[in-house]
Amino acid sequence: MTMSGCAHEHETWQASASGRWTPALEAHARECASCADVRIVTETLATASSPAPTAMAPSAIWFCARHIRRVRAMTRIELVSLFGQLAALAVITGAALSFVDWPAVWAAAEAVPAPAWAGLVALVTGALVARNLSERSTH
Amino acid sequence: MNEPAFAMLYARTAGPLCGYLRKLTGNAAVAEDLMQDSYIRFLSAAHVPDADDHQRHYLFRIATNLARDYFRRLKYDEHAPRPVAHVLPPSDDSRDVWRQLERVSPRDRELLLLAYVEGLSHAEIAKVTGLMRASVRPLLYRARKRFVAIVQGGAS
Repeated sequence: MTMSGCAHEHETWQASASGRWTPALEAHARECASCADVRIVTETLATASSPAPTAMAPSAIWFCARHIRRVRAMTRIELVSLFGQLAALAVITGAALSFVDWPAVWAAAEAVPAPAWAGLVALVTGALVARNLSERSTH
Repeated sequence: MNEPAFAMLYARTAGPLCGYLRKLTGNAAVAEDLMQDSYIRFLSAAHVPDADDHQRHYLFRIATNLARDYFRRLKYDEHAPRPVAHVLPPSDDSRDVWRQLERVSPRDRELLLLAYVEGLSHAEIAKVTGLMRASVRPLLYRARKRFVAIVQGGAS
C-alpha cells in the first residue's frame, strides 16, 4: 500500500468542493485511485447538513471573555498582594523577635514545673478537638 | 483584539467552526457549547495571533482540543451528551453520512474534516491537531481509506 498519494489531489478536492470540474481532471479522477477517494470523501462530507449556529451573539461572548480576563487579573493582583503581606509579616516578626531576650525567656520556661507544661498542652489539645467537633456538627 | 475585530472574526469563522464541531462530535448542542468555549478561550489567551489565517488555525486548534476533552469525558461520564445522528428525521438526506461519520474514530474524523471540508494543507493540519507534519500524510491517507470503505459498504 503506497501512501504517496497523487499530485492532483488538491485540484481534485477543489473541484469536488466547488463542483467545477475540467474534463481532463474528471477523467483523471476516474482513473486515479487516490483522487477517486478524495472525491468520494469530499462529496460525502459535503452532504452532511450543518445548520447555522444559534449560539451566543459575538458581543455576549466578548463580554464573557472580558469578564474572565478581569477575574484572572484580579486573582493575580490578590496573589501578589498576599505575598506582599506575608513578606511584610515575616519582616515585622523577625524584627520583633530580634528584641527578645532569649536567655531570660529560656530561664523563665525552665522555672515552670513540668505538670504545668503538661496541663497547658492538654488545654490546647482539648480546645482544638472541641473546635473541630463543633465545626463538624455545624456542617 | 478589540470588539469590532472580534465581531469580524466571528462572522468569518462561526459557520465553519460550528460545522466542524457538529460533524466532529455528532451533537449540535455539544458543538455549540464547544464553539462558545473555543471563542472564550481564544479571547482569554495571553497572546492572540494577528494574522487572519493564524487566528483561524488557533481557533480550530482550541476547538479540536475541547472536542478531544469531550470524547475523553464520554468514556467515563455516562451522563455526558452523546452523538445524536440516530435521531435525525428519516427525511434528512444526510442521515447516512452522520452514521458513516459515527463509525470513524474521532482522530480520523478530525483529519478528514480539516483536510476535505476546511481544505487545510498538511502543515496547517499539523498545527491544528498538534501532530508532526510528516505524520499527517500517512494518517490522513489511512483515515481516507477507512472512510471510503465505510461509504462504499466494504467495512463492517
